[in-house]
Amino acid sequence: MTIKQLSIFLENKSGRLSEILDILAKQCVKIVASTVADTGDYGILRIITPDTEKAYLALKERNVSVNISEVIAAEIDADCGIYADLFRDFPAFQISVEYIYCFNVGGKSILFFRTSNNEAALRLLQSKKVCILTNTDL
Amino acid sequence: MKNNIYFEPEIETLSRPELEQLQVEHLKTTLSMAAEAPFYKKLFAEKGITPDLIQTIDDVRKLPFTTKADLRDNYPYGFVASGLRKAVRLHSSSGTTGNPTVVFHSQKDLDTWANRVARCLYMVGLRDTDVFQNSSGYGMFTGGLGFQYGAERLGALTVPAAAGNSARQIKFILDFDTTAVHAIPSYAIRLAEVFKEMGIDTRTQTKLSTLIIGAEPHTEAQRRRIEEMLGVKAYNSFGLSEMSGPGVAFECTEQDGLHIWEDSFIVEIVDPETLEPVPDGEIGELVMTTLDREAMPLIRYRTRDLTRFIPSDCPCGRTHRRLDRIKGRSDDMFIVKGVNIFPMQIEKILMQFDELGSNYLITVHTVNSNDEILVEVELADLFTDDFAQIQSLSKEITAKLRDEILVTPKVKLVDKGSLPQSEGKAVRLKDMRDK
Repeated sequence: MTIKQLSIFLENKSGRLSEILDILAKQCVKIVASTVADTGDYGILRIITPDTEKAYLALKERNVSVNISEVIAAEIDADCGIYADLFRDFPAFQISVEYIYCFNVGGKSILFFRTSNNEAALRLLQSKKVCILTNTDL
Repeated sequence: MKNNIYFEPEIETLSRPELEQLQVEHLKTTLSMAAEAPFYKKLFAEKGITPDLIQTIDDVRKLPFTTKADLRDNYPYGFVASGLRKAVRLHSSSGTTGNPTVVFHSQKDLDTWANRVARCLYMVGLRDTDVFQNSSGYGMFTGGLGFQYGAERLGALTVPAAAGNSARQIKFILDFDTTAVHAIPSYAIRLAEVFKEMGIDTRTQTKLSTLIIGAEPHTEAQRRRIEEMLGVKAYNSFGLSEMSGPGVAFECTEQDGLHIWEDSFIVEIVDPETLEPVPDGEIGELVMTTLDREAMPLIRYRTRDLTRFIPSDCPCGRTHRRLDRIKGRSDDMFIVKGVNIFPMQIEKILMQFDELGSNYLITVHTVNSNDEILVEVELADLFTDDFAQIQSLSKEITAKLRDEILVTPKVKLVDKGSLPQSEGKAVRLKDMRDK
């Protein structure tokens, strides 16, 4: 029930992000969501795409350091307090959130996040009837 | 049939006293020949050097040293002893700084050289039934023709593939059923990577069994990696153009040190500062004297290579002493915060990490009037989506490097393929410090 995410090692140097995006563009990889986290020397570009396998192979072929990981994708109403509700019980179950990125569309928020225990997090969210997305929903 | 393991049993297993006797005789002849070269003629006259000075092998220490600067300063013909009539070939270094160093060979010199290379190849198990592919640069560089003539002397079918063009190298290996390849270690790794990318399993789809690696310092870990990646035995080869080229010293199948051919060379290891011999087994600069070269004899040539003698006898039965793998060049050594550091020390640590690729670059630069070392190393693959893990990898590399070189470097992980991957000698050190 998790969703596949590409994690790409990004050396912090001018033009590198464009190079990576060009490789993906040439393969017509559709990017649904993305984020860049950085430490100064390097960053990780995280991408959600329906074309994970195709993108992974294209990047590997071009010698890019890339990894496929699993994150949780949840769709919630973009209303006051719902975001807070989503994570409220996590501490009680000793689940910590490592990162989140999200966007709003048509009154909905789509969140992508990784936790210290994705399985437990999913059980918890399902018990709360949260709408969980998978790769086929993209 | 132990004799089957030696190309020239009588020479390779000669007793030490006999070997030293042979050296003394050949040294006297060499001194007479060298005195014909303009450089030595003058030097010997000034210092009163004559063959009579040599009674025992230790008397070699009475002779003056020859340096690379001497070779450059007397470019092009100052070291030719036989006259140009006898010289039939020359090889030279790249000469990126100032004059190149040129080495001249008579036909007899080429014959003894080819013979030495054949002896080396035989030692690691190559025979006249082998197909030997030489992926070394040809032309002025000695690794091309040196191995070519040596492998032909052995009787192996020799493929002069020359350097570069991995796809073509691999086609030759597949088409000609190549059993042995000579390449610099960074290129051997490159070939292994290309094989992998092409989905070819060298163990089952090629006849490769032996790799000869040399001309570039490398660590034991790097050798094991080449062996593992290609499913071969990899043997360390050592040579330098001033001593003709390849075939100076070579590993036997024990893979524990390189037998240096003492019928061709007098070998000393000295402290690079005091020029006195170091105690047996300790690291110092390799100093060599040719014993069978007539066009261009060299006396006590300071090679700049750092190594040590391995003090015990080799189980293979050869009496020629073994050198440890080259620890770098006395020129490559850099000093940071009063500590002597060799790039090989850094490489040794980096190779311990599976997460890292094989290319790295050391830059020494000045930050706020302090010397700082930056070690850039390529990540092999992104092994995680977790920042903390990447950061802890960086920290672990830094800590291990600090333990090895006693200075804390800055470690930077970089993209695969972003560092210069030379097909010649890889550049591993840049000194950008304010002078």
